[in-house]
Amino acid sequence: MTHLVVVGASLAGLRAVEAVRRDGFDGDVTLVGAEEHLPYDRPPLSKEYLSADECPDPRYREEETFAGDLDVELVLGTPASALDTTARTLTVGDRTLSYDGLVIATGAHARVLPGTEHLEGVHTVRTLDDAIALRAALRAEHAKRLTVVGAGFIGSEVAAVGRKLGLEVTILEALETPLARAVGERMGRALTHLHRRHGTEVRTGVAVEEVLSEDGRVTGVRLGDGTELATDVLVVGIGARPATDWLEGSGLTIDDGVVADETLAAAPGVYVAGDVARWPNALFTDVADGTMRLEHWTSAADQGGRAARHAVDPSAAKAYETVPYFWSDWYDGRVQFVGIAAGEDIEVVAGDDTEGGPFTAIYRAGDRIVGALAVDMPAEVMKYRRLIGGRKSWDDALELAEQRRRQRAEKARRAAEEQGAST
Amino acid sequence: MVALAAPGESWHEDTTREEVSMKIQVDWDRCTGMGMCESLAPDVFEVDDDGSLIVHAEEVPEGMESDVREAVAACPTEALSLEGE
Repeated sequence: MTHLVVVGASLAGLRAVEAVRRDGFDGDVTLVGAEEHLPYDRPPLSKEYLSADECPDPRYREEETFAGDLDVELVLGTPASALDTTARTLTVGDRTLSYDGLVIATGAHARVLPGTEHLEGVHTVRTLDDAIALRAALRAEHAKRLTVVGAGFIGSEVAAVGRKLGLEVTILEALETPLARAVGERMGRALTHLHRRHGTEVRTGVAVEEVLSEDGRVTGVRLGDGTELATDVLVVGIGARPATDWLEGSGLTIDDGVVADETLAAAPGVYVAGDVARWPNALFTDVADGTMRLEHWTSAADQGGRAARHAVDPSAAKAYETVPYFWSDWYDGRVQFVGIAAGEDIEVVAGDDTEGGPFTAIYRAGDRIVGALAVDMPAEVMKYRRLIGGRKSWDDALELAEQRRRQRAEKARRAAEEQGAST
Repeated sequence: MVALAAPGESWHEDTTREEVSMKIQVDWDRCTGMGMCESLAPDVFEVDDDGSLIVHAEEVPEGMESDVREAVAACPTEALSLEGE
């Protein structure tokens, strides 16, 4: 094994090259990225990068780190266009790179509303360039009204930023319940309360019929029932599609992502990581059918390192299983989810979900706890994450919930006592 | 870049060589209480009810080196590091 090529220079790609160097791999390492930018941190781009007055540098590492400590050749600014798994070559622009081991971590592209790509005032949030443009648009003097298409996590975060910046915000969602697929119907409703509580209008079950514009700039949208909504900024947050177009004809199995086995192998010497990767997560194959593809920071980081280790030493490849984790910052609060939202058997074990929190809810499938959701209860979900990873029973989860209840009560009692003593 | 392990050292398995004591460093400006560290090394890290991080040990306790290293690597804001490796 002499040459590792990692295609995709975001979090998974960065973690891939760092992991093998940390392990002492002394072959050549090349990191290929479609964007001109050095690897950068994406989660803040829909949050504080837009809202903070001073925008922080989102790059993970300096350029010198790649040339120096990591000894990685960077090939940035041109996307990979073809892969030949038999000859073990990758085409990037007019270059052909030979590899012994390959990690595919090309991520995903934001979905767009067809025909609106070139309209001024219409934005997606995926790349750093997207965020730079949206930041300016939200802060422009004429920007008073923000309309967000899609009540998913990205759309919700942008809506929260819009409110923070003093804009009038409306979210348009095609489904009756936002986030039903991610967290289930009941919890989707609970999260919608958070928006309403902060003055964001949420319209569900609506279709965007047409995006209205004048002189190349967005002016509003027309809904399925004929209603017209005027807007200054339109953000499209309707999900992402895995970046697999370039793999057509490569012989890899593509099915909403690159399909891999339990070790993340898609072909001999080829491993996948991050948003583009679809693999059987053995932790949940008994309760949820088939494979999964995650668009989470934590899985991209984790899979990047694993895939690269497997690529440089396939004989040591091990099955990869994980408890998914994602977080989302809305208004002044934090939504955290661990596991999977399989089944609809959900129990609220702390707080109250009817007004949008704070609360913690746990998810049951069969006899197992498989998921946990917390709104503004940051101490809770990680305790359940361990139970989920350990395939613990529903009774174990209820026992933990009871223990936590007692701990919180005891803490509140002591705090009240202290308060009493000091007055 | 955050130093996570000595060059050539295995990341996942505990090494057999004698460990020098490793101090846990937290960059409090970066930490947002995400809790990945707690899920990987609950005896060392805990997120409090207000979202702040409690670190139960100044130095990595014996036998927990691998868990703590994983926790350090898993931090989404790169707020954790180890000193003295």
